[in-house]
Amino acid sequence: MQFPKHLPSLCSPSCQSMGRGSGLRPSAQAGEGKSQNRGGVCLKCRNQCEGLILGESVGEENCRITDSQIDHIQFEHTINIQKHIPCHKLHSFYGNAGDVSEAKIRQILSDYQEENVIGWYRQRRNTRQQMTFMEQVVHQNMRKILSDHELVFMLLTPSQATASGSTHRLEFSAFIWHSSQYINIPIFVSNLGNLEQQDYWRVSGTCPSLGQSEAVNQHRTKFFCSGDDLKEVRNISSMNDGLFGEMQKVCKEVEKSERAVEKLQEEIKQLKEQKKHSEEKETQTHASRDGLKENVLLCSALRKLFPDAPSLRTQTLTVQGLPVLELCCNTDHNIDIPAKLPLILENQHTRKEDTAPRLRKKSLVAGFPQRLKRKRKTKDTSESASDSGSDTEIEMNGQNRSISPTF
Amino acid sequence: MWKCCTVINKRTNQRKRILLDCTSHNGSERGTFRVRRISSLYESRSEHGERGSNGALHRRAHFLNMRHRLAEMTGRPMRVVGWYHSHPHITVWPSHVDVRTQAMYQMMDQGFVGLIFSCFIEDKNTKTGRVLYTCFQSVQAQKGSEYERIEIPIHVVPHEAIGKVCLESAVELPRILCQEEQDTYRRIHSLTHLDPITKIHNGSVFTKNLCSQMSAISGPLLQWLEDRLEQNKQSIIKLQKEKEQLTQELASL
Repeated sequence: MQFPKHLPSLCSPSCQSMGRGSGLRPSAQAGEGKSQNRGGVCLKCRNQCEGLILGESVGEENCRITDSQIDHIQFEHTINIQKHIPCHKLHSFYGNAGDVSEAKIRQILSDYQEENVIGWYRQRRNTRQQMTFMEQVVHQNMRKILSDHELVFMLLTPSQATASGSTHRLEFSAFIWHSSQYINIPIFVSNLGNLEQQDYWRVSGTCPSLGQSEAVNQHRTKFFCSGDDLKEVRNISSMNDGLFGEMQKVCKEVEKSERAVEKLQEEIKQLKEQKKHSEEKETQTHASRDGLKENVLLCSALRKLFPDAPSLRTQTLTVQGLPVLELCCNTDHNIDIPAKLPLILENQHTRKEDTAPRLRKKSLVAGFPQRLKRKRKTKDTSESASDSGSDTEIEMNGQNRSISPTF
Repeated sequence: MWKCCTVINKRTNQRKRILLDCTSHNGSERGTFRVRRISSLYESRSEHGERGSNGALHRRAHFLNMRHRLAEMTGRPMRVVGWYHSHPHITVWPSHVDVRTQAMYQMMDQGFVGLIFSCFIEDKNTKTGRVLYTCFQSVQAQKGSEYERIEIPIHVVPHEAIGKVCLESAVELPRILCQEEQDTYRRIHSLTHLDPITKIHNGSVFTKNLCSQMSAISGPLLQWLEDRLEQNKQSIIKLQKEKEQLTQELASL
């Protein structure tokens, strides 16, 4: 097929799409024509995937002389895809702004030469056959880095063709930057063509020439083996068998590696689950430990200052805000008060010297102090703290002194 | 390789043969669904003229033989659930011959499905290539004795790794093509009335055809296998590192 001058065509080997999504396997058939194609495009059909395309760019000038035209020159530019390198994730060689990293491209290429890169590809499901703005930016930046080549961008878009889900399609096209815009170039997929056996001769031509028979018999041994077999046929069959043997060998290795990958993925999955489970368990343990954490210093201080008020050493309150006596801490934490809390002793000493108020608590179960009342000093009605009921009374001497320990 | 799962919608009011019961797509009716899970593809030799009812019977016998072989390879019971063929350069829709062939298969197995792959299609205007596949069965037409196609939803189940059967199936394809070429050549070569020049010519045709197969199928397939092997080796290295890291993290917890 001829193309306008300077406009390349793309020769692509048979596409083999495997894996997720619309995993297709079109029959690969070898072909006639200008297929100098080696390799196949193997894609894991995830929702989106991308990678680099390797190959070569070939230009050919054809000069044709016809009756109408003495000099008809046609230039054919063919880009042959030889192989592809899939990227393990998106944005492997470019950033979010579309800036391409040459170092990352080299890393992806590993053993291959940068000169072999003829483009890149992207596969995205259920989208249009149109380059996105990001893809255009990436392509332009790639062209700046790999300026020697006519870079091509191949877009593959699998999608559902019918509403029932009975028919699916994979569309693919190639884009290049030409005359300040992106244009599609035709793609040839190598095809075995029609292998009708019409090329074989089933009947020999009749030629009674003795000279011909003599000449043919003289050179016969160059073509025929012992018996009637042709050497050429044996040789090509041996070569083909060798190729099959090689294919079988590599196939077995691939199969082993597939199982190895599967096994590792399964192990990693189990390890991740174990890790998640352990992390959840540890989080729960931490939470419960934090919940029961006690401020032992505070508890010891309160015990020292208010030995008769165990309710102060509770961490649990009722809905009404009243301390729960059953959950009060009665543990002696053996804190060295003089060393750890010297100010308490100072305060305690100060309190003993002070003749002012003495907190008389009857019971703190019923509630916090509900009233402060001046105790009327009468001879008859002097009451002791134990007889005054459940209310808390504070004896005041005119000064409002806080009885809380100071730290 | 892909694992393909087809869903067949059958309203079985009389027979309660419900393997999977779910709501249909429009959400308004309930139907019974039967799911056919396709796990392997197996190529068979192309035999001319074996379409229609005779072809279906011959193929069925061949499939039964293959079933035993596949069962041995996979280590689990296998069953032939359908057939597939390609439509190069033409549309994906089954021809009337395809529909009739499918109908014959269904007489032996109601759940038998047909897959057609259409490839080497190009839209000349947009220069976009296309590959399509469809799944179908046959039903008796309302008028007349002919059959018509019904659509069968098909869903491809994602699968990371390629199974042994599928790999061997891929490698078997060029062998089948080579075998066909050799059979044709031997048949012609055995004709006794051919002179040496004719035989040399036929040998060259055989060489040419085999070269085409090596160039366009075996070579690219071998390269794909080598690339796949290389990718897997790199994946194994990465996965092993990830596994070690996870093991260390787990030990520290």
